[in-house]
Amino acid sequence: MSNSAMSNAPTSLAPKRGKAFDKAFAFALLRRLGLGLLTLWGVSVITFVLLFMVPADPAQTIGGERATEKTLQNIRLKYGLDKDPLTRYAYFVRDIATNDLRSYRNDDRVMGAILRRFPSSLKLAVAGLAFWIIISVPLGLLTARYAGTPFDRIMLLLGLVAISIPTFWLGRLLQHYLGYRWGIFSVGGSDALWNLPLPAITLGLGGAASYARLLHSNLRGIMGQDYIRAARARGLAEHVVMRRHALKNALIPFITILGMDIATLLSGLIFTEKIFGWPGIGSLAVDSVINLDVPMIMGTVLFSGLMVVLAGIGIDICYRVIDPRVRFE
Amino acid sequence: MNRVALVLFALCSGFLFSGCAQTPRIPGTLRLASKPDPSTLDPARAYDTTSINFVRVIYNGLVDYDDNARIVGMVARDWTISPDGKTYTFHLRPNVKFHSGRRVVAEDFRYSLERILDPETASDGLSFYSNIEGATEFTADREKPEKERKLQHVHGIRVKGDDEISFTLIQPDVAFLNVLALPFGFVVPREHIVALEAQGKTLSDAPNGCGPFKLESWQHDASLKLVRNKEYFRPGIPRVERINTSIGGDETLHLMQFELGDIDVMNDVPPADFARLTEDPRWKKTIIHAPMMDVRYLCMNMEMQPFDDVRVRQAFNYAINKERLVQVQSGRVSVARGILPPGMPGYNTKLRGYEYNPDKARALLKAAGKENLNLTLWVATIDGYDKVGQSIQQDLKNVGVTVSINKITYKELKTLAGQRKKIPLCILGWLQDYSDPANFLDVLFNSKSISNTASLNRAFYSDKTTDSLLSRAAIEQNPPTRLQMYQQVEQRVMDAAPWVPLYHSERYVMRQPWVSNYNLHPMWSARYEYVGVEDAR
Repeated sequence: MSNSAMSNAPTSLAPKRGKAFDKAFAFALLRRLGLGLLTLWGVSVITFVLLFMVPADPAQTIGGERATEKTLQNIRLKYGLDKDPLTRYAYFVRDIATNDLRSYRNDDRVMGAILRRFPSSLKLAVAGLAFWIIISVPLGLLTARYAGTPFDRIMLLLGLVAISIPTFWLGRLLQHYLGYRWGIFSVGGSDALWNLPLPAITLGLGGAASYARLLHSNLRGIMGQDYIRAARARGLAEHVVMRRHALKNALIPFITILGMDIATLLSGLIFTEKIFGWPGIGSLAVDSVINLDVPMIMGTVLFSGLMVVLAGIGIDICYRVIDPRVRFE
Repeated sequence: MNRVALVLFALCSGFLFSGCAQTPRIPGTLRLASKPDPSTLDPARAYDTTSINFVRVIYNGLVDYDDNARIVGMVARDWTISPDGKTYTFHLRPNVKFHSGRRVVAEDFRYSLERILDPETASDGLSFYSNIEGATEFTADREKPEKERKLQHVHGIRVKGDDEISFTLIQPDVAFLNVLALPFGFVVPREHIVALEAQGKTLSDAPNGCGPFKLESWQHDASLKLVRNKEYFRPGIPRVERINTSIGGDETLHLMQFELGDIDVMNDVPPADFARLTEDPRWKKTIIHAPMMDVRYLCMNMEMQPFDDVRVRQAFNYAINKERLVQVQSGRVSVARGILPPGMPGYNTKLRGYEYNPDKARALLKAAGKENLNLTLWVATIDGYDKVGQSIQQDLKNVGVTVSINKITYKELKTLAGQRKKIPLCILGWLQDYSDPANFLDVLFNSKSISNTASLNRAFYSDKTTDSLLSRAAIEQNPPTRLQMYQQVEQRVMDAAPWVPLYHSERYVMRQPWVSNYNLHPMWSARYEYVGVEDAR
């Protein structure tokens, strides 16, 4: 980060420069991490309780439809399904700790299955996020600059449409027209690179539209500030004023929301992956639910929870780097 | 900021160009798409269609079906059946090898069957083999702790040298060859499984059979690749070098891929597109169909109110308009007049079942004193059952029965419906394991199929006469007499009306013009070993 934006900052609270990672910050991070673990524990308990209430018998899932009562009994013994919920939860925690939590469906290690699919999901998430930012930043800048014009109005309308469309419908729509009908993009079927565009657009479009609006209103607020007028008075070109002075300040709340929207992104992955046959964690989660594969469901839920927690911490670090004035109490 | 934007822009335009690329066609490769991941590639555990389709071509058994569903030898060169119908003796071909290169011998078959009978394997096939002498005792023995086990082998399975194996049955069974043709009993090598277990792996992780294809790679929920077994013992088979299956997605995606030429076979035509495709001259001729050999039925739990009264059950049979169910399923099914599907040996063309007659239904309900019934119908979220459920709901409302619909996943429904006094009314289906009436009537209506938590007799229909007819039919050696006995059972069941049989489904498959020899088989949903792909598009 260059310091021009900072020197033009509206408040003159004399930002403390120097170490981005002081003691207080490290402590704050640790605290966040602790809270994160607590959250994960909560998530695991809630998921466990919910899955416990599903009427289906896990022994039947393992043993199959024709399993005799005797076989089912053996399976219950082997997997500890005959125990009380508390003991089973303890088993579950032990299995996670020893990486021996295994799928009911194919005996696959849950952690291994998730990690194998992680690159696929990551690829899609990064592409979706890239699309999200590529569209929202220029669109936010343009609509702010031409605020009130028909262009702005039309973009507002289109943006509202894009935000309101549910992911699964948007995905199908794009797949049908851009893929199947017009043949611009591939319709999907694997995580090959040529299958990436449509799911990435599906994942990113809603976010792109809402961020464009957010950036638009942030910029509009900033455009009236003194330091912008000062910059203009110095005779800087409008695009320089926009980019170097307005945009940087408008981006900070942006990052906050981005942190919170990681969860949205992950839930978007579930639908998007399923529609485009993208073999990631989202489709794994869906398949596990269909197959009542309890350990795998728990695994995918916990993993998503972990991602959200880590994203939150990552965002905290980002703040600190972008704006050292940010304090952690 | 600028540089970041530039990189992102480059990424984005990269998508655009790459987007134009389609999956290239590879000569000699059959490209398939499957919605579910096979649950296993271990023959002993494979009981879902997807798994069986792959297991069939990785492993082979003693016998299999030919094009007309007659039993022919596979690893078995020939066999003899003793005059009392109780002993089956098989002679093996000398030139069959596992993928690992070792010859398949008789001992391997004994191991493979005993593996199924070992409860540790948790095979869905266990109950099919209980008619072999000593099978039940063997299973019971294996349930004991290792030190207390006494039996080394099932005494009804005898091995003579490398080439001969015989099975002695407790009672004669005409369908025993069908049982041996089930993939459960396909041959697996012991040393391979033992070695895998030592590494904490299973056979499904590293299949090793003697079938026409070898597993090249399997990424769960993503892709499964098979490659030709060059050492396969049947000349000219398989007809393609590889089979690449992409796993995931759904019918809508697969249909798009099929129409764009990205996959060679579409295993199920989505109902929503059915009318369009059957009328489109381009796709019409790529579609083939055959009966699925199943029955879908409304199951009434006879141990629960109000279905303990035969009049109520009969009333439900009269109340439901099955012709409309056919329309609801886009005309892809046929009305079920009895239990057995058309094409099944013993199918009774004269059986008329119950006609649609709401007046009779109302009269019967009145006679039973059950005029304002309030019930819950449990419906699974697959196969268009929700629409079928709604249609049934309307029909029943028409005769004064108020029904609310409860939708759950198929797995949950199957578990609950197998438990005593849990679900009064639900829609279920049964698909053949092999083409024999016993596989429907004996499995679904014998009181032996009732247990507390895992019943297959989900109507909890228990009738002594039916049971004794079934046990006599099971040992009857004369085929026409035997089939007649099953028809008697069917008639008796229809009179007692534990079910409302709804319809029989058809399987619809689309294959590209360059795919040859993809025919529908009465027994198997796919036979990839015979399928060819012409290289010129």
